[in-house]
Amino acid sequence: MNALAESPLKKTTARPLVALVGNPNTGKSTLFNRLTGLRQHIANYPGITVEKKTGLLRVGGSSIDLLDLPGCYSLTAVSNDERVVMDVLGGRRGFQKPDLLVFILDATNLKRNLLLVSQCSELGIPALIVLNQCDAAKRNGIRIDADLLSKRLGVPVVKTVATRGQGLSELKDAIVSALESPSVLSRIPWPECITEGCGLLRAGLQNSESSELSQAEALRVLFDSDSVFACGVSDKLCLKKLVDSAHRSIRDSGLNPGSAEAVIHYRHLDSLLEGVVEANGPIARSHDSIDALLLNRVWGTLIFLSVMYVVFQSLYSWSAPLMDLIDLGTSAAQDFISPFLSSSPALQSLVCDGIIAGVGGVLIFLPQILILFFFIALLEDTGYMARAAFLVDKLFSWCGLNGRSFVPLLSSYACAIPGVMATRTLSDPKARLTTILMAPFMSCSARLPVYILLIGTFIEPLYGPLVAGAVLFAMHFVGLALALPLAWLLNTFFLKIKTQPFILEMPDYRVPTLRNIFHRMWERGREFVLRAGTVILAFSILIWSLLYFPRDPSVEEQTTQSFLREAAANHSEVEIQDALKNPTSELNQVLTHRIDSAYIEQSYLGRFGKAVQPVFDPAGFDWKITVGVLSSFPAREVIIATMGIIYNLGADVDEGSDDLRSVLQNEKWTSGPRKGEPVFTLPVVLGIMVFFALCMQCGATVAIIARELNWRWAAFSFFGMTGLAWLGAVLIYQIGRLI
Amino acid sequence: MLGEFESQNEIAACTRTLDSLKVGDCAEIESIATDCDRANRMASLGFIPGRMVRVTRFAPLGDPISVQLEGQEISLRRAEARIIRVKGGA
Repeated sequence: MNALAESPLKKTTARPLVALVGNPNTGKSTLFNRLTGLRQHIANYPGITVEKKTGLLRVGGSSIDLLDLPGCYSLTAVSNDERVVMDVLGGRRGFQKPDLLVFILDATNLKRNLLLVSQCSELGIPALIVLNQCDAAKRNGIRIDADLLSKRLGVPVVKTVATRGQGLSELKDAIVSALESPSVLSRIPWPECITEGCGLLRAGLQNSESSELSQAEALRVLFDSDSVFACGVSDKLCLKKLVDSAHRSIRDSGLNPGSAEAVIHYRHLDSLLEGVVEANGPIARSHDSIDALLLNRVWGTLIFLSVMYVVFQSLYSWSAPLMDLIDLGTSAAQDFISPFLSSSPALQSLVCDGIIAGVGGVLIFLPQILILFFFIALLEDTGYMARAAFLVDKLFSWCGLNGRSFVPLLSSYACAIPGVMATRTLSDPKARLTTILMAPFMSCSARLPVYILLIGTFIEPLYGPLVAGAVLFAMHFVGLALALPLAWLLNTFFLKIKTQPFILEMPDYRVPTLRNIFHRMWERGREFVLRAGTVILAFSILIWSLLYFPRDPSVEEQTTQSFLREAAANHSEVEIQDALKNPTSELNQVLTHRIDSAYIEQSYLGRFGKAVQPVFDPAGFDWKITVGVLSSFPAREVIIATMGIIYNLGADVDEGSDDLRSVLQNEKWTSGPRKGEPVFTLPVVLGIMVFFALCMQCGATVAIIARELNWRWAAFSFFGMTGLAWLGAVLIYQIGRLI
Repeated sequence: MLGEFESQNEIAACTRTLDSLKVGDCAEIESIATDCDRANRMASLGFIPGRMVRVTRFAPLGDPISVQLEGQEISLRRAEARIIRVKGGA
């Protein structure tokens, strides 16, 4: 799998490698999808979570490897996305240098798009220019002389409308002929101070491969202190001295070293575009009037809230029937397979409770992921996402997040899995990292049954429905109220990543295409099942085995015997014998539940729970609560079923079960200093709820964080949240006891 | 390019930063205040001396602000707008 993923980049294949390069929002990915169809491979670049999309382009009899590079505005390497672009274009870190660069430019904003092209001219890689969104340019009254542009740039220029597939065959032909007879971009004339500075750097520095810097590398080191090349230079002191003196001479010739590169490129582009672009009068901006409404202080806010309400409702409610269907399918599969394996109870339990339940536990997330990415694709493609981020940025900017964090955090209220996946829309790595770490704090729908059970059992009978409602509402804000200050702490004191300016380009409003939207949904769904799904499945099998084994048969015997002794007090011998023969009789059911309970108590997890109960003692948890809490680490909603088993009621209880409620109300300490006192006092109940609000009891979330960031951050998040949850529960119990 | 903006004749000599402009104000970019990495990024997006910029709106909570630059609409936070020195404007 891995070798296959690396092959188009790492090894020199017989097929030529063509890279698509361009700014964000140019329709680059649409074009990539159009060119490769579903013959794509999505992986991550080694070590970082930037998506590497490769695909196969077939033209005539030949096939070409196509690489979709992340969208970027310039070669300035601030984010990982841009770093990857620089690595690939420079043929560094073992990447194969592309044989041809295809620049996808937004025809409505040619000059800004050409900046990247102009910067890349130094690389000397053969190139081809694609003017995309030519229809929109025409509507805006922009006319572009493609022939003249091609003559001035020195490379072929092709016009396309990617969303409608126009110009695709011309583009394919152009790629083939550009590979056969390559032409490189004409270089821009640099002022003397820059060429001198570059000469200085090239003479004094060596790159990571211990050879002299190329002109392109020298330019990056000169203008971009963070550039990959600067990082590759080992002698940092010498680097700083040389760069400083080069900057001084740039400043002496009247330029700001910070902005000089862009200024020089744009000056060059001003003259290059003379006669190429003709705009009829002031540019007709179709979206100005829409913006006036959508970004209006009052109406814009109302529309934003309505849009987000629909997104949330569909995640929270509309996904429910689909999720129920998957649940039904899972139990149907269990019921179907179970009889075939009855000869071997361990295998039966592994297949039904471990594997099938695990697969069901993976698939259960799919409806919400697909629905969320349907909306994200829709919001991105129409151009609304950038506006939404603009509207709410202030709510998040103070703690290091930004406006784009809103949708991931909101989605996390339904489920953190799609929420974490949605952070891909954040280009700032620091804000993305923080958003991912905060997402599991949002009160997801799996916490709801726990709240409902405990509030319904202990708070509503005592304080009435009004207080119960208020507590339920408050529980949904505990996580958020803690997450934002935590994000601030993390960003201010711990994260050593550079803060990026939050600059959004407001794209033109566009009509989205279903093709694109479904492509996004398919891509994300597939990725989740194949990559995160396998880890989640492994988790659930692990926890199953901890709850199942060692399964000593003597546990069943002893439980049965003590049960029979008890039963003999109230029932005659014949009654008991009859009841045990009939699997549906009440006595038999009670016995089965007792055996299940005894097995859990004797399982590895049960023993572990008893052993660590002292840790949870300061929070007022007895061993039963502790085992319940521990067993719900793979998925928090499991606690209801586990409690059902532990309290001898069987696994088929839900949060509304009267039996479970009355058992909880009557549960008393059986040993220790609190012997005879009720277990579930108000501080304990509140403590459990706060514990569930703050704890990362979700193996799937851990897996998805590991996938989106890495295992170290996943572990940090897991242990950090668990520690906080413990602290919260202990504080509440201890303070509650004093009052 | 300048023809897009009516108030160009009102450009005066005083120097201010982009974040001090009001909605509807036009001004010419004079320079970018620092030569840090942010300057490079802002310049790449088109914030370069000599170009005209117009403030189109503020976000409902006052930050970020949205500006028009060379026919494109760009949103930036006040903290970033503060490093862009402008002259003129009304």
